[in-house]
Amino acid sequence: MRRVLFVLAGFVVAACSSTAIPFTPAAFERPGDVAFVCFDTNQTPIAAVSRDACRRDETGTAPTGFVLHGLVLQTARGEIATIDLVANRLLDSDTSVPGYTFLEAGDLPTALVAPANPASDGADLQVYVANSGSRDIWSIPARRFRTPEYGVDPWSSFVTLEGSPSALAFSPDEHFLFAAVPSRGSVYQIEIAADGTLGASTEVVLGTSVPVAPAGSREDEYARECTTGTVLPAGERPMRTPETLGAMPQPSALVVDATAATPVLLVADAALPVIHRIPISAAGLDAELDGVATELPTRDIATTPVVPTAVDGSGAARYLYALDVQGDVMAIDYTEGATFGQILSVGVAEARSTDRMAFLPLATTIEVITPGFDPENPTLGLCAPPAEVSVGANRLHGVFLSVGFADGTVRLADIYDLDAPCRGEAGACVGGAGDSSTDIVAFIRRNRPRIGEVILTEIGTTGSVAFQANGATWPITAMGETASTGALPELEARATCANGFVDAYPRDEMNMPLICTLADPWNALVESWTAQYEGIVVGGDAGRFSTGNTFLAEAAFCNAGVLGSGNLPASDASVPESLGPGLGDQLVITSLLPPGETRAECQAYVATDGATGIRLPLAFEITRAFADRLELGEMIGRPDIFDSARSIDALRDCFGELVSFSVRTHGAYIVSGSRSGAPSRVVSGDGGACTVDTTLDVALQNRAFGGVPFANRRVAFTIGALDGVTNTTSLHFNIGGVPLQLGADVGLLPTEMHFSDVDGYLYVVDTASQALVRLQMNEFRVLNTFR
Amino acid sequence: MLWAGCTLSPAGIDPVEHAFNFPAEILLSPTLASDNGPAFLFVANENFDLRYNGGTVMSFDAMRLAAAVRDTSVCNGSITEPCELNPADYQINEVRTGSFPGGMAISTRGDRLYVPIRTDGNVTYIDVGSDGRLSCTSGGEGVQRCDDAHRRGDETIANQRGEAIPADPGRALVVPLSTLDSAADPDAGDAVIVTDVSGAMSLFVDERAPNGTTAPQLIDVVYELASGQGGVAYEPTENLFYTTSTRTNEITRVGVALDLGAHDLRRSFLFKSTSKFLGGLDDGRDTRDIHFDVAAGRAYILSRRPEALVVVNMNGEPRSANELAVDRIVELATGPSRLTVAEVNGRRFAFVSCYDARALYVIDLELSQEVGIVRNFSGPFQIAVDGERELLYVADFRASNVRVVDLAPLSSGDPTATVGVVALVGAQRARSELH
Repeated sequence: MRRVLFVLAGFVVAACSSTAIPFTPAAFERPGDVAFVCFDTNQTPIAAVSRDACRRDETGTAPTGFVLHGLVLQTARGEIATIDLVANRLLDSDTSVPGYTFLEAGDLPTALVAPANPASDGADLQVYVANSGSRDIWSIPARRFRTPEYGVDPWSSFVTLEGSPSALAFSPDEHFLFAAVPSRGSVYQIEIAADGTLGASTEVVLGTSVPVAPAGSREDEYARECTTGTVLPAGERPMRTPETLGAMPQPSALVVDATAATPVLLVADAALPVIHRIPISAAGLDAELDGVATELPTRDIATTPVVPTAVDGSGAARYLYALDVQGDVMAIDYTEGATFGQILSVGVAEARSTDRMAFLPLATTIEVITPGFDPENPTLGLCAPPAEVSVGANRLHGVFLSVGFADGTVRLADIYDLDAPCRGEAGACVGGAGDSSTDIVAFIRRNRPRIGEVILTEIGTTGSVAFQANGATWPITAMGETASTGALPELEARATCANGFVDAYPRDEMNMPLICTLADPWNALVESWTAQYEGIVVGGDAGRFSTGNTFLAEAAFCNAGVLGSGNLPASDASVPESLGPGLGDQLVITSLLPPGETRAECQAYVATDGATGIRLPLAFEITRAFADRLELGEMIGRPDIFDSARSIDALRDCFGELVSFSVRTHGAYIVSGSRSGAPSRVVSGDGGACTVDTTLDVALQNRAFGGVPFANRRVAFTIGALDGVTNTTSLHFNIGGVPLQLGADVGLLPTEMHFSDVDGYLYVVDTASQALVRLQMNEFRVLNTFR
Repeated sequence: MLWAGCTLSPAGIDPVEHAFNFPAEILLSPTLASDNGPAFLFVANENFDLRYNGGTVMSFDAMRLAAAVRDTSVCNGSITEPCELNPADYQINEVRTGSFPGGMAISTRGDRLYVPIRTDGNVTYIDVGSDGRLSCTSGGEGVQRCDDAHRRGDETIANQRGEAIPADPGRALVVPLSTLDSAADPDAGDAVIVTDVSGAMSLFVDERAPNGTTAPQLIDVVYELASGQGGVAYEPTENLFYTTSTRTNEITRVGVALDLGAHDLRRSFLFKSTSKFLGGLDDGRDTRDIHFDVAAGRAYILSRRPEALVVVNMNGEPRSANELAVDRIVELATGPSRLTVAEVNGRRFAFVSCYDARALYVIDLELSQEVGIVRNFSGPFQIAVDGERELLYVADFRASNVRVVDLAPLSSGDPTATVGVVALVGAQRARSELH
């Protein structure tokens, strides 16, 4: 289930339209990079001009005759499509051929860039395409995208490289083109002549040194929070051991930082945990500087302009964002000074990781967007919306990080929201006063996902909180009781919820909380929780009886969290795993008897309960658990089985050596969340024995005991102690009310994003749905889809 | 009248000899220590339009075929005008099966094919002679039709548990018994896993008797797996089989417990382990194939929603409980159907057939980036890679031929060399011309 607010206004408008939209078959085929060119249609023939000529005015009106076009690489066919972004139509370069025909690129095109200006006065503006199949870079006169020319070479010039290029970028003066060549671990610098054609190329081999990230843990101070609750600060950032995916650099993305005093080419590296920095002078690339440590290799990067450090517009800071090879986004301090290069804490301790943004899906692409932001005057428009505009979560006015995800969505993170001081009124707002929005509660914090809704309810349980037993459901009252007359425990009240947690059930002020849950609006999860008495720790596996009382299986018992009575530490309040009855887990044999096994003593093992027809459990105590084996104790219960048949040897005689089994807790509840799972601190220790690693976060708990308060990273409760509870008994509740992240569903797989400051739109290439999607910023939503 | 109608031409029309007829599966014999590459190429023809009374499995001399492709007097190596090779010139022989033979696998020793047959609901085994001749009857001349003795798993009482394989077998996978359980003798034989589209999996064991006359035995069937079972692969670290699904985002995991201690393999069984899910995608509910790279700790899953090669870090931390840790997504064209991973000149590549896009994608797995797109197929489906000879064979289902792709450009370092089809086995012709 996606936790994103999808703006549906566009669909509603379409549904109300009386004009049926004709079906148009997709003309795109595996679209890739996108670039923008401005054409002056007042001229004859139509000419490509400086991109700034197409810049819209403050009212969003495009200058007459100057038309911004989008060029979209078609990687499957080796072509470049042209879209008129004012008339919103795809251009057909050869109308004599059925269907859309696009301009030819090379073999396996991978990157496309267009300069902001022609290379010199009077020169034709050229666009540049990198082809990985033919290992070259072409220049193509931009005029051909409006006025096709037949019978000529598709390029005006080309440069062949010694490896396949994958990304392109211009120097700030656009006199050089830089091309990443992953297979050679290098960047090529290619001169651009005065007529825009490509000149000499030079290979710059990237360094292999891996810097160490600056120590320390720090969260940025930028925040606007209006809530009656408590929002925890970010947790301590873990110091990670740098990981590499190869010995050689593998440049994956290029960004030119023209804001720095000396412009720098930043190179993401998909093999080494470093962002390379190469200064750019008038003569081209200089010697590589010390890189920025990322601890993991990266696939994409983005930088901010200089932004204020505080909500009120004071201070100055810069940030570098990197998408790591695991699909997570990190924020790095990019402000020149002592903290330069520090990876920032951006999540609470309970988050999946404190130094990765709190987005759950796999990120595929990132881009810094700056709608309405003037880098020369960062406070212009600060809490000054136009009179007719209502400030809200889905108005983007400032600096934000846009992130594309593998679930087909684009979401945002707050960096500098010019509207922030106007948002929210609940409680004593952090980040200044002033309110002109519809918000009551507001959560805005730098480098956190942007929340996209007016928050009406606090985080807490949704639906009923209930025990289930023998197939029946028994709702639990605000006092923690059920109406059951059977052996059902109660939920015990807690005096208060821990810091950073809120009352999840009940939520009224009359009663003490029975269930507490994580309050953090960015990291809380909508999920179902279950606490099953004597629940399954390892299920559905096969193993074999070995010599003595040993049971062998390839089940990774310690990873699964299995503990025998001999593995449990002595009872200690600081070690919650030790606070139970000390029974250890139990091995339950689930095999049927082999075909033809009719002996009465064997049939007793598979006897059923006369009343329910359910097979009676056949279980053994686990005295010690190891990574690959269990040491077994006595058979549990089953007085119907004779003493002579209660041994392992007797079972082996009936079942054979090989049996199917499961491992269940014994005298304990196993607590699991539908999305969080049931993480534990059990690891494989000396000699492979399962042991509790007390150096790990104590909140990694999955066992609850009757009468003992239980708390993990996301929920806390206390199930009352009671004798006679059976393994059909379980506690169930759902956590909901988590604020939705602002996002838009752009298709299936967004792979490229470009913010066009000329027309103020974000353009997203969705490869799998064969589309270029345009999103508007004033009311964040999909505006057009070109395919 | 009805009686007369039922007796008209009861045998139907025999498939045309030496002709491909909707080839859906293609595989090479294993490269044995004494060989310089695979010796034989096998092609299963589906009889998709039911024109004939069954499908066929054909055997080709892979060495002669490769030699012809590399012989400039026969093929000039052009990817713009591929040479045409007559199948009959390279064919060893063929046998007839039920219609819709698919997902076949070959024994570890390369002497037996296991072919799931969807119309008959059985697994037909075909012996492969040392000369590559196929045999699935007790005797006879000419083109053989596989007899009942070679159809396994569909007997009324197929095994001692009273189970028969479900009716819609999909793909077969062979794993040596000694790989599944180190206690087994290295020459003990093979386990043959057969998936079923309905959501089941069958285990056959083919023990190697000294006289070589044993037949594969159905041992166990496990049901209630994810429906639409697609690809299947063996993960040796966990000792589990992973299967994909064309209908859900569930990646099913099934284990095999071999009962070696009791010296009775018939007591072995399959067990369903916990499933994993392909989460965080939009929406991952149609996966077609899977491959493991154990050394790299990766799994490659071929997805149609989205159309992409999904790279999974088997040691990574998943984003939600029970999900696979997706590391990377490599976009593909429409209709990705089959995935093969192979090494060419020391570098690992994924080869993906995209049926609807009529193209073959070549992806460098180190860079996670495509390095070649081979176009001009009609309906590319199954792929077989001869890494030693740097050739790749694609069964072109829609055009009923086999296309040969030259992989030498992947290792040549020549920027002007392009991976492409250099030879066509069978004619480039319309389906209506096939009789």
